[in-house]
Parts: sequence; structure tokens; C-alpha cells
Amino acid sequence: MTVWVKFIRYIIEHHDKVLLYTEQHLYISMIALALGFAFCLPVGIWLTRHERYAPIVIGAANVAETIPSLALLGFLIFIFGIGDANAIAALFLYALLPMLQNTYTGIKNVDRSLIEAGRGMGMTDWQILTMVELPLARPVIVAGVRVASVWTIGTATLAAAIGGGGLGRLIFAGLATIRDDIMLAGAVPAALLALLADWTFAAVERWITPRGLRVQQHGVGKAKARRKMGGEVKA
Amino acid sequence: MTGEEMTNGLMVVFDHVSKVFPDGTRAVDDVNLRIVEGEFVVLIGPSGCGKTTTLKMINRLVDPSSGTIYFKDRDIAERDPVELRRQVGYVIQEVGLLPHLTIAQNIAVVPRLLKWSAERQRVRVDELLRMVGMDPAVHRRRYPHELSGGQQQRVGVLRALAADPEIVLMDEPFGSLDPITRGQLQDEFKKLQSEFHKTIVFVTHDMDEALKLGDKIVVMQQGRVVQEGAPADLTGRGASAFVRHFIGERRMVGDPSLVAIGQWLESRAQALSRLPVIDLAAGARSACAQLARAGAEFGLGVDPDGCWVALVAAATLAADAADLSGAIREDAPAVSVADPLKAAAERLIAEDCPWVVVLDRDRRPLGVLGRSQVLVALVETMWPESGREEVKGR
Ligand SMILES: Nc1ncnc2c1ncn2[C@@H]1O[C@H](COP(=O)(O)OP(=O)(O)OP(=O)(O)O)[C@@H](O)[C@H]1O
Ligand SMILES: [Mg+2]
Repeated sequence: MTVWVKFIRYIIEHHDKVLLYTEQHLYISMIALALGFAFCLPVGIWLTRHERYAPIVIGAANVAETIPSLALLGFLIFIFGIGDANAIAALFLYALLPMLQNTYTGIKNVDRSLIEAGRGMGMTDWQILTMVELPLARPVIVAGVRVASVWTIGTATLAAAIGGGGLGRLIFAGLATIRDDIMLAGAVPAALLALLADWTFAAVERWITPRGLRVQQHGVGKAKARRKMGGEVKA
Repeated sequence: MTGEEMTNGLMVVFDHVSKVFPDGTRAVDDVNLRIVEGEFVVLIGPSGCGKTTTLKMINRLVDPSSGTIYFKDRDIAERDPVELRRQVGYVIQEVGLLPHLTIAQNIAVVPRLLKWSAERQRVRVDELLRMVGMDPAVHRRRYPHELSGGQQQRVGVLRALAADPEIVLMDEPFGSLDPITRGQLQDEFKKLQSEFHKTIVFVTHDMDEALKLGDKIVVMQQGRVVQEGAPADLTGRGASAFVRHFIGERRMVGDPSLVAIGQWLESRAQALSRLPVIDLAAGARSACAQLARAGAEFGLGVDPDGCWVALVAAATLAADAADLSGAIREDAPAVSVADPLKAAAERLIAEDCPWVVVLDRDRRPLGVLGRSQVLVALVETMWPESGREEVKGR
């Protein structure tokens, strides 16, 4: 029997277990991602208003990124003990950099003249943020979330090493017992989850890109959009 | 000036206003201005002279370092900037349409901030689009990048007019356009203005545009107002050297049928070849001696008043002859400094002559311009940057 047949058999026989771990995996990653986003959006915006702190804060997120995952997980045991909380905390720290960086640069890169136009027309600071900066920075911000989601799902396999749940359990079990089929039963769904997240956020990115910008980026879409509009007019 | 001194009908008053930026740049230096209701005021001057800064102080995008600005009798420093800006139309130098909003949404930004009903916004947008000849059915749902440059600039202007402000600030609104579209928009805008009589403060560095649109032109240089007045005052005798230079310089770029020969010569006086001026009444002997002294083949013949009569050719001039008539060439082409460059070129072609005599306004001859000089003048006028290099290289 080849390893793939054994792998499929394992999945069928233990589908409840695989499903449970997939669920845990997703749960750990998404909680970390959501917490990370909830932190990065306001902090990223705040940094665009207090630029001298930007190198410090983004630098700190960068440092967190460079700590080896296992070392970070081990270190966090002293704070969070053993289990999911520890894993979520570590993943949260990993997810910060791409989201913080993209929120910050996405907003900073909005054309100054558009902000000036908004202010000149009598927008308040809040209105400039919500009517000009965020709509224009949105695609960049979501791209950051997309990168973070793939990293998080990948790294979440290590949660099992410190007593957390997730597909890492199967991988570590497989490694410990030298059973390729069990290891694959953890690794393959984890890879698929990462791909799925990537694909989903790519779709979100496209979907939330304002139409006026979307058409601009893809030359082909332009003619199409024109035709469509012409059609609407005639109808 | 105090509040009581101000009479009705004054829209904006600058009272000893200066702006020094934190880096020490003195962008606006002790400016005093009175802008009357319904007046079209043009701020003009070279790049960096403080036009944009002056404009932005009116809607408090920039606050003065010293001095006071009044908007309808009230010191604007006491007003809420956000509320003030919603009452003041503003066309920024970079057009600045929001790329993620449709044309209709772009035009309706201020009405939306003022919480107009959706229906009222829609009616207003359609009305404005029609005013500039853009079919609302076609254009309201388009995005800025789907419009031509000229249409974008139009929308930028409409956006400033949307909430019907009493005063509109326009920073080089037609700046980035080709001359034809630019002219079109100027005409259109002039027509709009004649219907609405808004108070407009308009920044440009194009003197033709200023003369065409403005009721009052304010010329700035290094943060100061160096002259202000109606277009006629400015082009007339009263102008300072700087203003004359600025007008001359600016008017040079462009059309050789508009640029006078004298204007071009102002910057290139050495282009004119000097020839001996010969008083024909003094006789052939004197003429001959003068030409020999100057080593010239030709002389410019004048009457006793110094006015141009005809050309004198040394070759056909007999030293002993009492009569000059054989040496005189009355068909030599002559143009006045007031004539356009184009006229000089036309004379050269028509007379098939290698040069043309240039006369001053009193018809006294100044010298001659050769064919190549006229060509240089045409090139430099039409292509101010490239022309000089090419011609020099020859
Ligand atoms: N925010 C700023 N900080 C420092 N200096 C500034 C600032 N804004 C403008 N300046 C300087 O003030 C001077 C006047 O600038 P301003 O933009 O008013 O010129 P302008 O007449 O509008 O020029 P242009 O025709 O090029 O638009 C310039 O020297 C400019 O560099
Ligand atoms: Mg400017």
C-alpha cells in the first residue's frame, strides 16, 4: 500500500478526529487573525497621525516576526501557560506585521492632494478617514490580512507543540510514531486551509476594491465597463 | 482697518497678512487685499510667489502668521474651519477628484456633507452637468478616470459650485490642459460667471488667462502684491518693470501672430543688425563717406526727421553723383516693432528679400533682421524650450 492510500484510509476512518482538529485549527488561526486585525487597524491609523512612532511600533512588530516560532511559543508559556491561549497569543504577534504595515502604508500612500481636496471641501478629520483614506487604502489593508491569514494558518500547526489543538496534533503524532499517513492527515488539510484562506481573501480584496479603482488597474475591464455603462444608459 | 470701516459689498479683506512657514519660508508678506462681492479677482505671478498660500488662507487650509482676514465682515480666525470651508467653493491645483466615487458622487460631496436630501443632490448634479454640456445620463455614473482631462477639470469646477457658495477659490483650474481645451473652458467658465456673478478668486500664471477672465488682476512677486488693478490698467503705462517683464515674458510663449517683434527683441536685442543711418537730404557724398566709414554695404535712408524712407546700396552709389536716386531701393521690406513676428516672416517671403528693416513706433529705423533671425524668433516663440538649442547648434 502506498502512503497515499493509507493516508486516505486514515482520513476516512478518523474523519471525526480530522474534522475536529481542522475546526480547532481554523478557530485558533481566525481568533488570532481577528484580534490582530482589531489591533492593527486602529493602531495603523493612529500611526499615520503620529508618524514619529511609526518606526518604533512597526519595528517592534518586525522584531516579533524574527523570533523563531517555537522559541516564541516556549517563551509565552511563562505568561499564558500551556494550551490554545498561548498559541493564539503567538499567532497574534506574528499576524501583526503585515496588517500593521499595510494599514499604515496603505493610508500614507493615499494621494495628498485628495486629502487636501477633502479638507478644502469641509470634511472633518473623521470624514476624511472614512470617505477618502479608508476606501482608497482598503485593498492594501485587505492584502495585508491575506498575507497574515496564510502565515497564521501555517504557523498554527505548532500550537500542538505546546499543548494546543489543531491539525498540528496529527502532524506531531505522525512524526512521533513514524506514521506518514497520520502526518499527512494533518499536513494536507492545513495546506488546503491556507490555500482556501488565500483564495478567499483574494476574492474579498477584489470585491472591496472600489469600482473606480478596479477598472483603472485592469485595462481590459475598462472597455467592458464602458460598454456596460453605455448599455445601461440605453436600457 | 477695523470692522466698522468695512462697507457692505466687501466679501474678503486681507489686512496686513503674512505667512511664515515653520521652516522660515516667508510665503506671503504683508498682503492687503479687498475683494468685492461679485468680483472676479485673478492672482498672478511666477511659481512660488505665494498665490496658492494666499488662496488657502481664505478657507483656512493655512492660517496666517500675522494679520487678519475678514470674510463678510467676520474675522475668519473666529470661525469653525469646517463650517467655513463648506461655504467656500474650492478647486485645487491638482483637480483632486476622488477616484473611487462616481462623477455624480464627486460633484455632490459638499451637498452630502451639508446633508441635502438624495433627491436634491441628484437634481443639482444633473443641473450642473447640463450647464457644461455633459449629458447627465451618460456621465453621472462614470468614474473620474473615464473622463478626458478637460472633462475632469470641468467636474472639478462643478464640484466647487455644487452647494452654491458665495465665493469660489480656484487654483489654476485649467492648468494642465492643452491650449485649445483651455481656451474652451475659459470661454465656458466666463459664460457661467456672467450668469451667476459669484465672487471668484482665481490663481493662474498665464497672463492671457488673467486678462481674459479677470475684473481685477493682482500681481504677486515673492509673497508681496506688486500691483493690482483692472486688466487695462495693468497692460498700460502704469505697470512696474516687473509687471511689464512678466506680461512680456508670458505673452511670448505661443502664437507668432500675437507676439510683437519688439517683445521678442526685448530679450534678444543683439539679434538686430545695426546699419548706418543715412540722412538722404545730406546728399550722395556724405552717404558714401558714412557707408565707407562703417564698412557697410547698405545704409538705412531717413528723412531729416529721422523717419524711414528707403535703403541705400553702396554698390550702386556713385561717389561723385549729386543724385542718390540710383542707389535707393524703395521696395526694401520694413516692419514696425509693434507688428507681430508673423508679419516679418510674411514680408520676407513676399519680397523674397534676405532681411527686413525694423522700425520703432515713430518709424525710425532700428536695424535689420536677417532671415535666420526671423526664423529663430518664430521657433523660440512657438517652442520656447527646444528652439534655442537647435538653432544654436546650427
Ligand atoms: N507647507 C509649506 N511649508 C513650507 N514652505 C511652503 C509650504 N507651502 C508652500 N511653501 C513655500 O511657500 C512659497 C509659496 O508657495 P505657494 O504654493 O503659495 O506658491 P505658488 O505661487 O502657488 O506657486 P505655483 O505657481 O508653483 O503653484 C514657496 O516658496 C513654497 O515653497
Ligand atoms: Mg500654487
